[in-house]
Amino acid sequence: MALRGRCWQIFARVKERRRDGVFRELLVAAGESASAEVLETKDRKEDGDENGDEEDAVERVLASLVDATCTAVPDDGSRTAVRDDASDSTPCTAVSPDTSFRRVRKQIDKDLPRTFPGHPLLDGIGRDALRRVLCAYALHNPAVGYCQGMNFLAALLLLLMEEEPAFWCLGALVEDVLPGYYGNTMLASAVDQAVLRTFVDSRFPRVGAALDDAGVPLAAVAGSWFLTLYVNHLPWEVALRVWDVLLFERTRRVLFQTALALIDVNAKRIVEGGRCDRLMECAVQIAPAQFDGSGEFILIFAWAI
Amino acid sequence: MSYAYLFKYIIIGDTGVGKSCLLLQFTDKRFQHVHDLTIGVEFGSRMVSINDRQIKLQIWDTAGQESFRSITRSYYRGAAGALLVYDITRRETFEHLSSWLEDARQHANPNMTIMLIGNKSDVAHKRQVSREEGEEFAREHGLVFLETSAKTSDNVEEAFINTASVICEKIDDGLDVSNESHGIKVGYGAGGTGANQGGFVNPGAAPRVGGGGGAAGQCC
Repeated sequence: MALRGRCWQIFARVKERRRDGVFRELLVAAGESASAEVLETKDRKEDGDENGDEEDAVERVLASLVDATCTAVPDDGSRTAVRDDASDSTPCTAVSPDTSFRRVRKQIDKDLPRTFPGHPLLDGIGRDALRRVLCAYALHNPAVGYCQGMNFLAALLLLLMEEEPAFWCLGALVEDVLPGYYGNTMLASAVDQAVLRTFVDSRFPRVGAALDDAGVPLAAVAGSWFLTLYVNHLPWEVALRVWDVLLFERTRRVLFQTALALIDVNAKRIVEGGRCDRLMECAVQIAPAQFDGSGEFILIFAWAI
Repeated sequence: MSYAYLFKYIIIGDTGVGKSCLLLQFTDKRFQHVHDLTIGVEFGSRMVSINDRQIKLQIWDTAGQESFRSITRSYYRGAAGALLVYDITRRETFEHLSSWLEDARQHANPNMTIMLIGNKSDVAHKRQVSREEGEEFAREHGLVFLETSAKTSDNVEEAFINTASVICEKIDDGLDVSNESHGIKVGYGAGGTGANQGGFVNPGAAPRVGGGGGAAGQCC
């Protein structure tokens, strides 16, 4: 599996999160058969493969790096978030499929073909894996269940790692990095947009004024950037770099930095668009069109913020 | 391009009823069988002509899943028109209409024009909601009604344009276009050749004309 996928698992503390057999039990509860890959995971570990030693070494170095820096990253408050009332209940794993799960399952089925349609790895087999991870997670954390947006996160994880680690990584994202984002009311998402708005007002007041004049909430532009962690809005390579930092820092700081960088680069265009009632026409283009694969540009901007 | 008015629309309804496909068919005249799921809101715009008058439609397409309701509610405010969409092949999407309507009544301005849309008329063999039921619901709640197919484009133009016509009639009848919460903005170039000739402008309103007229062509 991709080195990046391995790094993300270390950043997300998958080893610490993982509990033996839980994923498989959830699949059974969801009425899913585990893929051969899930069943094999354990055996393969015991056998040890050719690159085992080398990979273990990489893992050890990365893990020590995470340990060394996790204290160094100041807690800027973005790690804690407003939680939905509903998500306060502890995630439990002992829920049998009932009416509400059937509803969730139906929704997931409906959204599978609408997740990166046409991507070669999300064919029949890839889609089955995505359904299993999302269904298992919905049962694992019924307070969140399944909320649209999570499909994109799980799909991206599955492109870089196997099902079970993807399941635990999804948990790390939903519970640690984005708590309250995918709950009943998505309150934390609204709060972050309000926070972003205050940043925009203080750094780019003309953009803030243009948004007000056009009657456009900032969330109309940036809401889905955060909810999908940019996977639908930036070229892949750039989005992956944002995820690297997001998972490494385990705070949402990089989401804000990237948003402010995008707005900074496009401020003139947004303000001019606003002058002729074309603010949204301009704003919807600011994420994908700009970079042409050379994403370093926006990242350099983001780090400077 | 100059236009007499800008109308804000919002498209609402359960997830998967075809809201984004309706918008795409209307703005781009194409149908995409599979497309990425809408997260939050998406946006589209198009110019239409109503009684020889150019109207710019600015359309907000919203996510349909229940958990997004609190997010999408903020888009009701300042909308002149709403397309409330259900899927004629899925009964539950019709049954949820009342709750959507309640949301709209609560959060939108009372003058908002609501068009009820029964989408996917091309898959009539899987129909679970009859046209008569749709008509009945619309009559009961004072909505305009159409069945559409975003796939074949049947009635899609009409859905957006008829809504605009109704809004124009309301303006003719004296709806205050200077009140921003009505979702109507007097457009660029409206001063000389646009609204004033058609009697669309409320005498009491102070339309913003002039200034922008020349600039609009150069901008963007």
